[in-house]
Amino acid sequence: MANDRLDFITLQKEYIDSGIIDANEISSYSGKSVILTFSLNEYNTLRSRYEGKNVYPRPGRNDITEGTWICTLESDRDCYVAIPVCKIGPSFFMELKRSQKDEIITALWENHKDELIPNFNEVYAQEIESQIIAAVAEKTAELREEISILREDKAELQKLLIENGALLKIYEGVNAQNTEKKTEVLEVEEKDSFDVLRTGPDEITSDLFTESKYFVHINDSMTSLIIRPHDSGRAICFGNKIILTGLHAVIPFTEEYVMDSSYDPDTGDIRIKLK
Amino acid sequence: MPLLTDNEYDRVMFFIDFSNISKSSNLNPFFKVDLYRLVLDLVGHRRLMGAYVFDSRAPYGVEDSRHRLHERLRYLGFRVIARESYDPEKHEQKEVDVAMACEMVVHALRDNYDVAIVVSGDRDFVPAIQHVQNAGKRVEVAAFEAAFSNEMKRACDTYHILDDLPILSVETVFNNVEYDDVKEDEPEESDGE
Repeated sequence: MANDRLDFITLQKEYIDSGIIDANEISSYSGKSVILTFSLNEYNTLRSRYEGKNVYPRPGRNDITEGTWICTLESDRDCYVAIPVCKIGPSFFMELKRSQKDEIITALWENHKDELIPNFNEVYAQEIESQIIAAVAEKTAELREEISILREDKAELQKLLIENGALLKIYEGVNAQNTEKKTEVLEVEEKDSFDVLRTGPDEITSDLFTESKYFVHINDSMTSLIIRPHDSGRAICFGNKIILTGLHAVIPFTEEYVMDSSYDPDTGDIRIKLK
Repeated sequence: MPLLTDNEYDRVMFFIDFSNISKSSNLNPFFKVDLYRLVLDLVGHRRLMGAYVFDSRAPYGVEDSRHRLHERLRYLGFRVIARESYDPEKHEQKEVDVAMACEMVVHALRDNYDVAIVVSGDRDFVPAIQHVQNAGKRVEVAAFEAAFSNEMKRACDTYHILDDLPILSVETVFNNVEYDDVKEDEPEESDGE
């Protein structure tokens, strides 16, 4: 097969004999190939123009329609007869290679820019404008959303500022109280002793009795009392007085007197000697 | 000067004979033994592993005034073992001492504590104390002087006299008119404006 030499003339003759191609078509393929655009004239006849002459499709060839064609021309008295090769359309262009497309586009743009720009403007102006409008609207919506979020954050921050301001005042108040208490504790610590008064049969009074409940314990020999402030205490205090039920049984009460007592600043315990 | 010293890592377990302690304290009706305070004062900085309280109770169905007290102790964290063994005719409780002795020895053999603190002055516990000591544990005894037998003092490693410890709770009881004087110092009520 590789050694067979291709005889084109013989091949052509074989194709003509088998009817694949028409002998009349072959004879006319000596013409030039041109690109022509065909359209219907006022007589509803398909026609194009080339070098000042009309160009008509070869009679009997109904495959040429309106549009742009690559065709071969034959001269016929005062006109040309076109033999279509193929129609140029979007599909033709898309089937080209990328490099070929780029070449065509570059040639078109460089040579026919003045013609193309108005066409582009006319065809694409509306589309571009609508795209621009859509993009602007979308961006505007995004920005509005961001603005609303920022406004919400601002309102929240203002609210937090107010709350923090109130909390700050509370903390300052608590801090001031704690400072006062520390001052009171320091003042108490500076004292060597403090006064616990026996003011009733079952009642003792002191300025140190500031809590509402105390644990109070006495030893079995009834000689000492220890008082501890505690939320679960079972000795109630109000108005700096602690009621100790049964104290009158330990030491009878006749009149008010100052009890022998001591204060432990580390534990807050108050010890009272009874006897 | 004590022969043995306390260590912060010692594991301590209490065994409290409730009736012995209650009866031996001063018979002041207003003051009651505060077991919670007692345990806190005696354990010090050591590790408390458990505190058992042994007492008797009335049979089920019979009203028992000590039931509320037992529940309160359980709420505080004490393990109350109340034997249904009170003899009303002889006014004495049975089984309680033996139950307490058994608990002491069994925990010692199981190595659940290093130091046992027996809150009772009853010499009936001396054999149990000796067995606990034979198991390598220390025994401390705490009781009121009036109820503290000399045998207990000799048998234990350390003893505590509870008379000087402030463990009797003094409370406020509002039930009479003696406190009218106090009411004068109460803040004035608002007019509701």
